[in-house]
Amino acid sequence: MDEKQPVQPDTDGTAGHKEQMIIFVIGDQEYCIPILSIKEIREYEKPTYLPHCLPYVEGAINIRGNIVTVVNLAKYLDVPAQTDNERRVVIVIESDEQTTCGLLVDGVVGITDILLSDVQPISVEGGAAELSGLVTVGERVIRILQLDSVISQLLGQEAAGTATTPTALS
Amino acid sequence: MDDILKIFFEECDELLPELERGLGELSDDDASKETINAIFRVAHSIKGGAASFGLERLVRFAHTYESALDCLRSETVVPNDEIVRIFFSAMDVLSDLVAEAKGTGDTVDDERIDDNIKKLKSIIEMGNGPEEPASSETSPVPENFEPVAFDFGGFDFDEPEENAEGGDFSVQFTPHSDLYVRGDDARNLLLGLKELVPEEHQDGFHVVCDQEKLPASLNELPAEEALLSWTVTVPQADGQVTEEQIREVFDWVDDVCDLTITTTGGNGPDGGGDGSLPPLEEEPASEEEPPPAQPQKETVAPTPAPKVAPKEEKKTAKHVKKAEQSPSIRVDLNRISMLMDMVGEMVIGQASLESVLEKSGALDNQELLKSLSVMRSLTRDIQDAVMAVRAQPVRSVFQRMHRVVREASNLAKKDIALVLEGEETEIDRTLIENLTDPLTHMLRNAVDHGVESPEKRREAGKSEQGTIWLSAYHRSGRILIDIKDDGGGINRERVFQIAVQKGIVAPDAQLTEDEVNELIFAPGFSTAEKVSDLSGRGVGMDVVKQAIQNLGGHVSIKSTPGEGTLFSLSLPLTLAVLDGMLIECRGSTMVVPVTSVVELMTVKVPQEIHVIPDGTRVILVRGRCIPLIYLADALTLPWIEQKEKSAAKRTEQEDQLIVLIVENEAGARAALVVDGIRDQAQVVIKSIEKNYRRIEGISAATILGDGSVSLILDISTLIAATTKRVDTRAMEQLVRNAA
Repeated sequence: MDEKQPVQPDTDGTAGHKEQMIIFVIGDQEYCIPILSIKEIREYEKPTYLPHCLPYVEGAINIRGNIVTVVNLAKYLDVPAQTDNERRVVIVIESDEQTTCGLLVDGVVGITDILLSDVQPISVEGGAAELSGLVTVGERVIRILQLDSVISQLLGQEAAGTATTPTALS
Repeated sequence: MDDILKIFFEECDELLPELERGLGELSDDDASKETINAIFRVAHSIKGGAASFGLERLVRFAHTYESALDCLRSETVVPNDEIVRIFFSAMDVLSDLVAEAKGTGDTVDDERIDDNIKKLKSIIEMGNGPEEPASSETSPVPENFEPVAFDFGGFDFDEPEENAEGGDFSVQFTPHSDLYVRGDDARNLLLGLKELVPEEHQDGFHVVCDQEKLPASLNELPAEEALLSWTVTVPQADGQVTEEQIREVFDWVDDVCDLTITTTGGNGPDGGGDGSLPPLEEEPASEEEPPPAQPQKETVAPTPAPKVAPKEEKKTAKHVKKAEQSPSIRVDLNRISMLMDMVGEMVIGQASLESVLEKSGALDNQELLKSLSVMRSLTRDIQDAVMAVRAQPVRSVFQRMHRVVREASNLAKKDIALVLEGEETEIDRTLIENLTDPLTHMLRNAVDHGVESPEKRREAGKSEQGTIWLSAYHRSGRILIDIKDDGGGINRERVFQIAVQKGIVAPDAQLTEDEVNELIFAPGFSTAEKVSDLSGRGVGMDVVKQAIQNLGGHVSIKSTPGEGTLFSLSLPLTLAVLDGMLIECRGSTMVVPVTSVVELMTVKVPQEIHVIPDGTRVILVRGRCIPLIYLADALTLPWIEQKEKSAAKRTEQEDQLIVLIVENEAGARAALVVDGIRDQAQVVIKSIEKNYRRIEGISAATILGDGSVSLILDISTLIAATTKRVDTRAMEQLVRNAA
């Protein structure tokens, strides 16, 4: 789905800056997000179903008194998830605006330092607004998840109305 | 700067109600000296704060206000109804000026200000005539800060040894630095002493300043220390001056000064007045230090609050005030909410610990059981304590109502007294904020429509002054607020006529008394023939009812013709928890607010279910046609698994449905089809929207005892979605209700 784009010169002048990223897997693909956006990683527990929810929203869970929505990243990214995975985890992230949400992933691989100058941006025409870029670590290609768009879609700030229309009563 | 300004306004918000309460006590004649002092401090604090922010208009008005109050404090003017009324109306101006400065209110009419200033000035003149500004203004406005303050009002320092007959008091007064830090002034105290002495004995009054501690050079003068002390000879004046009176003068400062009072014989022992410099020379000496060199001079010199000090002074006044009541601190509300959340979690954690222990069979251990129960009761106590932190007395809202009634009765040209009861009753903060509007509206309504005009009251043999009672009290876990008037009661015939005119009820409907009373809550109903300034603001009692219901409460009316009307509001103690009914629906547990549940029943399938032409199914309950809402379908709940599916299917096919008859604010009803009823419980309300979007049909979420998330149904939107189709709107429901 996300073919490699020709290498673009880094435009934001952050060359040389490193960022710690956490790498996780969905199906057989590896993704990463900045480690500083993560609040905690917890075991998957059955969430409460939210009526009329977006197809990729698993439901809501209770994290120390806060109601947090869990996004099934496999469905969100339209990637086949691992079947029969007992070790699925929820990565709880917090946005700059203090919005919290949980990402259901197949497993966490590890932490790595990524040179921002190594990141290859993806053009939006490529159809991958969910990703902010690609990076190669050794032989592996790791996709960088665009957290802002996950959260803004959850809050209905963008792309509202696509999946929110309540299903008619049967 | 903005932050400090914000604090000032916050303080004003606290101070103004206090002023109002004090004035209220004055008008009830149970005012003590302390009350007058308290309200004086309020005016003073507002003035001081305003001055430091350059809020000219506010300062000017507050200054006049303070001066007028000072006449009460010095007891040169005895408060009567008229005077208290002037103070009340001026207080409204004062709070409007604060709002103006804050930017939340309109600009106050200059004419209104001048008018009130004129009235206040008349009080001041009553008190001491315009001649003696020096003694009337304990602390002049910062602008007037000039040497005039050191004119000791004509103290006579000559020949201290004369006129010593009858024995004198010798008052040794050494102020500590703290006295000045508080913004007090030695000069005021000395003046106060002087005022004790009757005119004809003034000759025997001497003040001697002891400046021994002063360093030789000005440069060595410690700017923030009090170095001066005074010895004052106060003649007994044939017994007219007592030691007690002298002590009273120092009442406010006795903890920040050394005070010894001795009675001397004929000749004062410290009569060596010739040796000491008269204070008149001393004071200006320390005062006239060049300001640039000694910027902090005001702390050493016993001057009245100078321009920089008011902020300080205000704090002190507040400090004093707080010390009298119980001490308190300001806490950010978020911190308390956080604490609440965590305590909630603790309760859940406790529950899960217990269930785990039970499963493992460890509960056979008596000791474990015992310590577990200790933990449990502790947890509950902590939960109660945290709830109590958020609770506040309703006083803050109730106090505001004085003004509402005052203004409303002025406009309506009625004489109405507002009696408050149970202001101490505590209620959650969130509710307090939301109570003001509905209460304001109901009180305006009571003034406008409840209490009759003075003429009518006279004819009816009542006293011309009407009374409205506003009371609050706790009952069975809810707070009840009563608004009662002694007016003419609801004119049921007229209410009915109007309701017919406006098409709210059918002309031939037979209504009970209560049902007629309820009509005034119907949308679009207003009994006032002409739209008055007061209650006719385009909103009716329906808005009030709606607002109260949004708070999880309800309103009821009792009315006796000729004797008055009673509106009763019943409210939950907090918005943070809700009484809910836990229901099962396709494997999920959900919460229905108990307030919207009318009844529970079972419906036989298919005999009792009727399908109307548009496909909606309805049931008949005692002649009323109620649409069915299949909750699981309405919320598009997924089929969990095969077993569930068959179970759910069974409910459709079986001969019985469990339904909950629910009602929205407008009285429209619907029947929710559910799989089962589990329990009834108090649940803590949690926002979903914080981390997600609004969900149709769901108002919030909660966390159940096992830690799982459960959704709270929004009955209003659920009904609205359905009733639209069956076309049973509120109006028709009322008609049907009536029929």
